[in-house]
Amino acid sequence: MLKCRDLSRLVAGGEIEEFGFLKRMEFKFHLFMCRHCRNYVAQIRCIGQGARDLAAEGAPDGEQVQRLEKKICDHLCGDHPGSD
Amino acid sequence: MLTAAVSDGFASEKFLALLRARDEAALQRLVSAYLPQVLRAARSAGLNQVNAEDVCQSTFVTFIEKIDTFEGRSHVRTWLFGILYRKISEMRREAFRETAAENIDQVMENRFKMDGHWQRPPRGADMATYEREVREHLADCLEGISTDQRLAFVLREVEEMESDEICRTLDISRSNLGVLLFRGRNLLRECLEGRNIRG
Repeated sequence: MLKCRDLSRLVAGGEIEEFGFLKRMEFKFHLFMCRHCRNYVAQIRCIGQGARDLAAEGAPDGEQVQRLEKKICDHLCGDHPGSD
Repeated sequence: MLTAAVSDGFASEKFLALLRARDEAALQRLVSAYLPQVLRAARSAGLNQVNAEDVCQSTFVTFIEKIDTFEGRSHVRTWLFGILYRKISEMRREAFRETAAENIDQVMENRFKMDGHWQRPPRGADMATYEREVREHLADCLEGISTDQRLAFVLREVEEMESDEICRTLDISRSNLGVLLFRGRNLLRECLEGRNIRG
């Protein structure tokens, strides 16, 4: 029988994503019965989504990427021997 | 995100031979394909734009310098991210203030009763409120976790890598990855809760 402590380890440690069918059913049943674990899982997922949102917001624009791409390619092709 | 088919093409012997010969078009293709992802990961790992750009350039330079030792058995992306990870670790080692991060194991243990049920459960939160608070505080809370925890978290959540690839990239075992993710995610959750996030 899955306990709340076990569930927190499996969810935060990422193992739950690799579970087979039966374990997933046990997980879902536990969540159905336990509102504290539902809160915990929802918050962990929300933090992951928050990280994706942060990355998307902080993503450099196309012009910045192109400029850096050119700089790196020039460097790799030896066009700018003095640069690092 | 790159598809497996595209990235497999980058690991082909023909393409690697072109890179070894410093073929300009091949170098251009490599950088063009992977730079956005590498740059995003560097920024997500906590580097500012200037440092992130420096570390990206340095990553590609090292990749090409060491291309002769790449045998194509692993993914080009895995190899590239492995180089990126080592460079970010070096860069952040001095900047990161060691915190009592490992105490999170005890913090989590104290949240449960002997029988494994919650003793101090997560604060119940209205999700709309929680999402707003995550947006406000997550960037700060991310500064409080170690580089390894942060990179594992970023590769999983932002780059959406499978566990096997993260383990190869960071050169760690699956159980180590579990510990990094467990500590990182719980440190973030505790940090957010400590800022009175609740519905």
